[in-house]
Amino acid sequence: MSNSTSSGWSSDVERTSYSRRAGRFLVLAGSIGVLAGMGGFVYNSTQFLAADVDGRLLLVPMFAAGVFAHVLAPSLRQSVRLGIAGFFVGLAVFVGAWLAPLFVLSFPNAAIDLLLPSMVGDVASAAFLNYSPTYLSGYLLAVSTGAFVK
Amino acid sequence: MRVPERTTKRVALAGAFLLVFGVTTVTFAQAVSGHIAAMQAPSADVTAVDYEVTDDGLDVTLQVHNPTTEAIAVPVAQVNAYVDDEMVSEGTSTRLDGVAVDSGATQNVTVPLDFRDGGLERLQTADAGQVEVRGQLKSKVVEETVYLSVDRTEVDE
Repeated sequence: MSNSTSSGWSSDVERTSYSRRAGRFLVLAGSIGVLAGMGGFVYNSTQFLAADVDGRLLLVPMFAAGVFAHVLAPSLRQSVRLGIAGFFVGLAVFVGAWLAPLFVLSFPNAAIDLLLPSMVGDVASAAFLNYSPTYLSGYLLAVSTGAFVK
Repeated sequence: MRVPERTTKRVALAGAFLLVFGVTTVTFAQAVSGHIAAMQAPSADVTAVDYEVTDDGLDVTLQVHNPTTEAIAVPVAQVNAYVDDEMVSEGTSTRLDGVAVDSGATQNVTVPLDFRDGGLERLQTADAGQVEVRGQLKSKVVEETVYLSVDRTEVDE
């Protein structure tokens, strides 16, 4: 990271062209979000994993996504943007994967009406109880550590 | 204008990210496949096709079609035989060891049942079309429990 200001709020990278910055941001936010979302889904579907993995180990992808949102950003401003964008992209991936069978498997509409509320309830509680705290603690820990370690 | 150099630290970070991303993608693919299969499994066709009186009791043959992308294990059958709505089998669940229906396969599963008192006599005096098999299979898609209900219940010997 090469910063032109002492605060690290912005960096020289931000002086590159708009399209280049936007492209870089979209790729990073997309990758971080997909990682977080996949991690959230896997953590909440351990019954489908062939290998017997310790549940705590499965928190790593979500936590790591939060950490990467900060460490891959060239400046603190970009870090905040990536942190927020990655969080919401991840949430969309997680919820999308959770609800996908309802639309992939051509369930009748009556069955979708019946199943959707309970599945939304399941995924919403998972998002609040493990996805959000894990991703955000990874991100905030990286920001806090970054404030002391250069 | 200056673009940051590709330092060792940046390469290491990108490598670490790709490693975590790759491992997560593999486990995610497994989990999604299982999740979809578990939701599709209850639509499996389970049909009672035959029954046979044996020395120990009654062997009921169920034809199971697995439409999912994962194998469905059937560790427990909660199935009973009825004659004119009167239960002739013992009414308990039956443990089946090592029974599994592969993805996309149609397979016969034999469920051994015990007769309750007078059940055998009631079955032997029954006419064709009076005998029904009802119940469900307590099944597993990887480690997720799903219930498959027996669809068509009337059986001929």
